[in-house]
Amino acid sequence: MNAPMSDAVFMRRRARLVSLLEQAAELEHGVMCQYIFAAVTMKKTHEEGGVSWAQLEAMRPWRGHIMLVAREEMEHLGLVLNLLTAIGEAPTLNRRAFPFSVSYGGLSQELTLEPFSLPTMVRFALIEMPEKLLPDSEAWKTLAEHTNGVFDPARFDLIAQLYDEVAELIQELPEDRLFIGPPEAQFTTPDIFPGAIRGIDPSAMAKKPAYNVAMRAVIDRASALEVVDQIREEGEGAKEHGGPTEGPDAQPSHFQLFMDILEDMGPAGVGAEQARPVLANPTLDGPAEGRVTHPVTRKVMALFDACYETLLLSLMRYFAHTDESERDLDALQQASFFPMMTTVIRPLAECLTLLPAREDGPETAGPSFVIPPGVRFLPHRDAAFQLLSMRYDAMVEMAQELSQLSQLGVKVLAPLGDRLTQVYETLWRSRLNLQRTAGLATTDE
Amino acid sequence: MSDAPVSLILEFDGWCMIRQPTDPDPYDERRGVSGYTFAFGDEPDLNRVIYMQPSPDSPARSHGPPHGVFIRKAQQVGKGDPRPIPELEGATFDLLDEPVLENRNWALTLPGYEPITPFHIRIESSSPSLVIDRNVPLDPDKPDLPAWKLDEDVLVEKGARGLALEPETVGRATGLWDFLQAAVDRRAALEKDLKALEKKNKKKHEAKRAILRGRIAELTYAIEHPKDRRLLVRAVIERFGFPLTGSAASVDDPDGVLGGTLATSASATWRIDFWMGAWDADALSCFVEGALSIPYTSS
Repeated sequence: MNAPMSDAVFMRRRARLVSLLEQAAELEHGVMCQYIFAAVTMKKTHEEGGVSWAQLEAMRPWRGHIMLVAREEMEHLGLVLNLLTAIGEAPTLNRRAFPFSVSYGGLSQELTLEPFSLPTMVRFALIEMPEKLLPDSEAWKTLAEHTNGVFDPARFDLIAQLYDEVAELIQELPEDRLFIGPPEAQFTTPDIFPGAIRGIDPSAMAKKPAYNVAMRAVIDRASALEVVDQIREEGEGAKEHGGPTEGPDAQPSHFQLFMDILEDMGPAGVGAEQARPVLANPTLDGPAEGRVTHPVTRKVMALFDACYETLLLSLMRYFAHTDESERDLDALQQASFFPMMTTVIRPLAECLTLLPAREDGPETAGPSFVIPPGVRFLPHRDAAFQLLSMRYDAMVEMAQELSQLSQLGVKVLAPLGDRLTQVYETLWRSRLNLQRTAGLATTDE
Repeated sequence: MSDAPVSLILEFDGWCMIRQPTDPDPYDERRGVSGYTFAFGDEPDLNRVIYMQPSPDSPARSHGPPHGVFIRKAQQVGKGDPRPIPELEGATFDLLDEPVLENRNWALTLPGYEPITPFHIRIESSSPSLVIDRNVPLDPDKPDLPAWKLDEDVLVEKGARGLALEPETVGRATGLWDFLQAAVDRRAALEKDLKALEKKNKKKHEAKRAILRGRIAELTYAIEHPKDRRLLVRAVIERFGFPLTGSAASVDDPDGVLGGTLATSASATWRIDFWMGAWDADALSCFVEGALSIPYTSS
């Protein structure tokens, strides 16, 4: 029998676990953003030029698969936040600006926002590569070919090794001292997607993923280890082959999905030309090479940045909720997932890839996913909701201006007019929902 | 005591088209990315509009169900036995002005609780000549407000009553019981079409081939994953039922086929109950079945 762990050792090992989970959160958050970025840069219509009907049909499922993986990365981020909450820590959504590197045990992984292309898909596959890729596998050969024969799988074990250590620490630390977080603060799939179908057992639905998102509660060592396994099996560092598991419900791993795209790109004749000419790592105020200077595009970008920041503030309050009522949580849920992610963030990201980055030149803009340094957990319930409400006021104002500009004939916005108007209407409605559900005064009544 | 008719009951059913993106795609997604409905090749964009009758704006996909919603049974009810009006059978039942199922990715209501807006009914027959037309606002007190500005209570009152898995309802109404086999049969028909098209001018038919390839790929996914939404939604329905009031109706019945005068004032309350469902993700179609009740004036 092992000797009891001393308090000092426990605290030191626990601090290591917290540090690793925070690193994992930043990593999951970062890879999610770069997948969304690449997906929204892919051309979608024949009218965009440079893409045949056959190429469009080949690319259609790829775009869906990259977005699917991005949703599962959101799920992984949520599961890591559940892990942090389970051990009594605050959830974190901090992330450095792109490009940045995550380091672990002498390994390093660079995360960068780049448009869809063959090198981008190679990079994605390497990020998701299984811990022990067999040297004679087709995947090995494909990756070796695309990395000019200098393929070294050991360089890409970062995610697998990071989660290995997380699992070891969860095994090692005393369960009764580690899992001190409130079980009621855990989030599961039905909390995030409360839809139901009569005739289907709700408890059966609760166990199923919704839109490939399967959030599970962490309440003890066993559930914590299951969550770590889930993250690894779904993509990052699945231990053996990274291929699809058996059965009709099976989903291919992230690695397998990316390898399938990689292998099909050549035969389909698809490369960087079939993506929009989007700037890498675009920002409003960052380094010159990625800076967007077109005055109208900057307005759309500013709206995107404001919405993304608000989304993160809502999510932080949602995952770290303390004295919120059920209605408060409903308000935060609505402000975070559907419709904010689907009907504001994604449409604006897509709009940006169609807007000029500069007054001259072919490049277009894209979503920056910038997180200002001041974005942190808002600790006081009433002030937090008031601040969120005020942020919505500002976002509604910005979106209304863009909608009006598009209707007034501002050339670059004209093709996006309907979409910008719908973003405005969604923000207007989301503000009303937030204010009413949280018991705040409504702005427009 | 008067034996004048009290109400006209019109029963209707049929397949309509709905080119709608599906969650988790944004509700204004034009081509389809993450849901299970797509616009392929050179097909028009997804536009969410419910087409109860064939329209050039929403060309039907091949091998889909016959398109059109029609009056199947019409009768006067009153104090005595119901009096059938067989002349009205086959009249078209339509919703005008590009109606949509409006929940906007859950911003307005949860899925399955959304209203259809606008709700502009038109029943039309050429022989005998007849038009019944009523455009009903979602909120009679605020007829000019768009749905996205209306109270949730109002939306829910006119909205569906949730999603329900009812394979028996679908089977009885449509004759479809084996959804998986229907997908297998549809795919076989499309594969045959694609094979025929492969022999023709490659450049000229590239977009058409892309459509067929896309449909075949999605049907294949459904067949290989029978628990996926693509097949599950074939057995899912949404039930609606609400009063129609708040705007005047117009009725043109030169042949007097209705046998009385329908109540058409803005305050006249009609009633509609129906379900939509049996969603066919490949054909972008769904089935509608229901009844409309219209009171006669007492004079």
